[in-house]
Amino acid sequence: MLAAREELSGAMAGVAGGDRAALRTVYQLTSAKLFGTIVRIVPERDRAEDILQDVYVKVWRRAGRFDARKGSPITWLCTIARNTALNDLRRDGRKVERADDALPEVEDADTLPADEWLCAMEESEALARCLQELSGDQRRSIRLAFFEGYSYSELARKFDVPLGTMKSWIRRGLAGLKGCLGG
Amino acid sequence: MADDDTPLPEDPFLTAGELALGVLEGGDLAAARRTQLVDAAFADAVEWWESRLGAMGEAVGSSIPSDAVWQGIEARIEAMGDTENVALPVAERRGPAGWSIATALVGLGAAAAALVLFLSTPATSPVAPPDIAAIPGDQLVAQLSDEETDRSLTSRIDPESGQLRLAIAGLQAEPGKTPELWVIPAGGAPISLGAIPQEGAFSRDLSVEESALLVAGATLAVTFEDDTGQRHETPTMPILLAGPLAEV
Repeated sequence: MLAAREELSGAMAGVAGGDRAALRTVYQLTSAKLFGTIVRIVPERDRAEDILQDVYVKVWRRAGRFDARKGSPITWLCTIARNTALNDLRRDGRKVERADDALPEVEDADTLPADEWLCAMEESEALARCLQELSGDQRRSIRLAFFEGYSYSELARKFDVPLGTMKSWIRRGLAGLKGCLGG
Repeated sequence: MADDDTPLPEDPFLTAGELALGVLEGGDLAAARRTQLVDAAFADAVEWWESRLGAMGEAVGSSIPSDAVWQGIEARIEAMGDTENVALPVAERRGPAGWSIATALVGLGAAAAALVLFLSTPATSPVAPPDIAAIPGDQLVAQLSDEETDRSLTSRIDPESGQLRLAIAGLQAEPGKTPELWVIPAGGAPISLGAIPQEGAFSRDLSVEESALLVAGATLAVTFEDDTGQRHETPTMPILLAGPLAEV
């Protein structure tokens, strides 16, 4: 477990130094995870693969800016993947409305991912614990916003509540997380 | 919760969380991104949220992409050449901490600064975008030039790759000074994009926040600033060059 995380950290340092073989290692270790993140937001496979390409080109360009003291490499990579997918969504729109439109409860159970060795487990556990302390509405809207990339107005429509109510849920949820996570 | 509908008081830390979560839209989104660019404390708060909420993303399942993806990445990196992943000395956004800068920019100070910038712009005539046919897709171009001083700057932004490319001429500054590029969002205050060379070609990667500001209708401007290695909060008069970004 630890060895894989160290391998990723080492490879990230190599990428920052312009080592293409190191980028290949980073890709092998993380592409499935990042692709999973992207298809949650942009389900069309071709479009998601284009985004994945963009992500690793960005990683190649930006690896020098990764600061290991500020967070784990996988979180940094996931953030780039997520933001790139969200930007694509904002630019080109949501082309596919999910079929399971009845508000999927996004993994509210504490299922563990198969490749958990990559994760800073302490952080995931703290977040999962803190999310459980929120009200159901707050937790579900924050999860949907995160996983599916929904904006305030989309969430309000999904939950069929006024925009102000949705904003209040999310802000209260974030305030709860802030207190619980010690922000 | 009985009081769930009562609005919470404004809290920039929560706004940073909303930005990191991706729920903001329209004017609120643009305002938050602007604040992220100019306010170090806010930018740190966004990073804090991204890192904390990112832990949630790690629990997402995996999905295997096709082999073509890696081949595409290799080809694109090959095309970039070997030099482009060298980290640029990105100017640190370390100004006075706290919310003062954002408040100053978002409040009256913003309108005043933008007004000064526009009113004091010299007789530089923004010329029409160059050679439109040669540029594919929805690129953004600004051509800034001043015939009297022979200063010019051509800027090309490719939203697809998030690259800013500049061709610069005649921006020789006094010792200790450097040309600095600014973007003025329509109706907003100038925001620094950092120091640029005095002459020649220059390109760099844009951050997501910067890309959001560089849209058609925004204005690019150049000033001379003290070469401190940092981005400045407000431009120093006079404006050397200014002109609008246009989509081509």
